[in-house]
Amino acid sequence: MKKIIIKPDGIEEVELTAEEVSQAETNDTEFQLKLDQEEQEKITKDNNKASGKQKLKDLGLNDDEIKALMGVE
Amino acid sequence: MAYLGRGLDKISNIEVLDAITFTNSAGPYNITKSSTAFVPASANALVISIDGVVQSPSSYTLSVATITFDSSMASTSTMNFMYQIGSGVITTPSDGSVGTAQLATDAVTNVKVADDAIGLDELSATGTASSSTYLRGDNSWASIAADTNDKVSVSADDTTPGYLNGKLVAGTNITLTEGSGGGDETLTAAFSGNLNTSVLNAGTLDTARLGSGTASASTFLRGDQSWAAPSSDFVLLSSTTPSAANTISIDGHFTSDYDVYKIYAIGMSGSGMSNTRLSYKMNVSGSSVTGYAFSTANQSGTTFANWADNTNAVYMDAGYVHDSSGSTSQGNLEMLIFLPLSTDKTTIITQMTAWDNGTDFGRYFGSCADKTARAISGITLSAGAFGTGDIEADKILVYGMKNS
Repeated sequence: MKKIIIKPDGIEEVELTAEEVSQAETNDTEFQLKLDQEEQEKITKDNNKASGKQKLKDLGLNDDEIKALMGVE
Repeated sequence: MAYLGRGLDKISNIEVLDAITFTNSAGPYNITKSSTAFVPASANALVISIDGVVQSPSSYTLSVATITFDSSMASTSTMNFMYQIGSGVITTPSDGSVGTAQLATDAVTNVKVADDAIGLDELSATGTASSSTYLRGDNSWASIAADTNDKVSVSADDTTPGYLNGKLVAGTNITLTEGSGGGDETLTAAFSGNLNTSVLNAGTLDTARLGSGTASASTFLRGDQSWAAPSSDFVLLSSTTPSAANTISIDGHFTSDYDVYKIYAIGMSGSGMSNTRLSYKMNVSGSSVTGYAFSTANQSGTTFANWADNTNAVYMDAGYVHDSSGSTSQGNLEMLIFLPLSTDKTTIITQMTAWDNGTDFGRYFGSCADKTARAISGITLSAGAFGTGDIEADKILVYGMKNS
């Protein structure tokens, strides 16, 4: 792997050091964990959204009322 | 006692000439005596025997020292002898006694004429020989015709002021200026007025003729015909097309000439990664650093929502780029960097358009701030949160906004 450095006097190409390559691999792993976490949080949020809406419906509110009240469709 | 005997005119003398070897031709054959050219007195003076038959003088003709026979002489024929029969006693003619009649036609060869002996009177050329005439190829004395191609004739001993100037006619927009009036005059031709563009068939005009000031790679010709630096405060500092790489660092462009910079990354894509977020960091002294606060919002269709944010980030996300090099769904980034060199907390505004992974159109607006007060030297771009994949860009432009 290499990195490009654009300087005022031209372009320089430099091979990544072993340490930099290792860091990139770590970043891949950490970012994947982050994506997984965000996905899980989104699922939890969607579930909460759905259950909250259902509870409002159980209280007798219709969809338009729920939307007007909570902004939840 | 008087001479008794045959009359002197009855005394014969015989010249024995060299026999000729025939070569299957009528001639001409050289007539020689002891291998030296011999000019017979006449055809009748010769006695020639060939193959035992004496030849009639009418069967050959003479020309100086050659003989030509009426018919071809076979090489098998043999000349038995050839004599010239003279008459009288051979004596040396007295001075001035040999007249033209005694000389055979064309008998005087060039070697018989003494060197430097031919004078003008001996030439038969027509016309008059003089110091102004020359002998032409048609054997006539003639003057040299005036050269009608001569455009300028200058007196060799010019001492008259204005002589040269008076002999030349200046064309349109040409001024002739006389120098050193009198002897050794000089004449300078100078152009003035407007140049007729029709004379410019090729080549270029010297930049000094186009305007005042200094023409250079950083100046342009203005409408007032002066070379001047661009008046725009928005100056292109760099335009490059980098090859694909894990990271692309844009560094070293920030100087005291500018306070605000714009970076355009056009036609970006990522490759070889599980996600194609466009991430970036700030550089300090050429190396990327961490420690930022940033947030980026995404407008997709009519929905406008927070997309990414972090108040203690090690990098920023500016938007998505498509995971396909050369795709029509590539991302395009505009980045506005404020006061990067001030020992303050540099802030950056980004906006970006992209087709997220080629499916959903996205427009991203973001900003970030360095959490540390320090001068930054550049920006490092990466696709995929600085992971192992490569980022590509068709072109990267860096502009500076002048601060004064």
